[in-house]
Amino acid sequence: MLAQTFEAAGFSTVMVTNMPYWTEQLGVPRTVGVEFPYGHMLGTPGDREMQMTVIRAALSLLEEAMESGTIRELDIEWPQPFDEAKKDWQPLEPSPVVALMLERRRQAALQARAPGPSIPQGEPGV
Amino acid sequence: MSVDSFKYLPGSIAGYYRAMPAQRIDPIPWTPLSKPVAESRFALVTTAGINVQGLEPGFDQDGERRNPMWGDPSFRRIPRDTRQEQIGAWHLHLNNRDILADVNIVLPVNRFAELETEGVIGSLAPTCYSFMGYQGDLREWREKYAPEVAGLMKDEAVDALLLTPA
Repeated sequence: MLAQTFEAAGFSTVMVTNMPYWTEQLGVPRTVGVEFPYGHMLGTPGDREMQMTVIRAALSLLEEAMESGTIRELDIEWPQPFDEAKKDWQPLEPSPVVALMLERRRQAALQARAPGPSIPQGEPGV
Repeated sequence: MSVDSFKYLPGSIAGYYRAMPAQRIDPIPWTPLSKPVAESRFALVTTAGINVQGLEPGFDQDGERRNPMWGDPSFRRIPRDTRQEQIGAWHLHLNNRDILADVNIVLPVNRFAELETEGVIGSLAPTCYSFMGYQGDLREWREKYAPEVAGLMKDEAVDALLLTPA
């Protein structure tokens, strides 16, 4: 949304994202796709070379893309083991909306386990 | 596409995102780069939910806790000469540890200052910007805050933007 708004306002934009699927769906002017965990679109803290590699790719795309909706993917492996990285980017406490969803799921599970309303077995005396 | 866009999401959230309908903008806006990168002035925009402590307040986490479907739609200015220890991070959907260690992973102000020195880019504008990416409703971004940031960037003669979502 922001990329589209700023592009329409007269700026040339390039987005670095780990969800190029979404930029393709939504229509983003220029996308560099990276398979990095959330909150780390330019790489790992302190790794200047990795950050520069991603930035230089974004600058090249700015100069080379000829039409809106161009996506270029980078083949850079995230240096951390996958299971660790998948856990590591997430907040230490669930976000408010995730906490709400978990609570709703817990309530639904409790309700499913509780004895439900008695099922009529037929008219008495029949 | 070789990048797996759902790789780092927990299974239930990935399923939710995959099923979510997308409204594609058509035609996609397009502003060709008006001059070479080496002559262009850049600003950086992230949705990582960061601020400069002491300059402006953080993002409204209490409001989001009161209404989990809402996220603070306002923005913060990040001057290019901000020091790492001035950075605050307020995104409730991320572990902010790595951003507090090195802001360049979301808003590469130091890297762009280096590229300016090397002559790879024309310049980095005096000011960069942060939003907070968890938004229940994009209307305020679209109608109020993004146009406001666009105006500020025009005032600083910005040509091009690097954006990082979070």
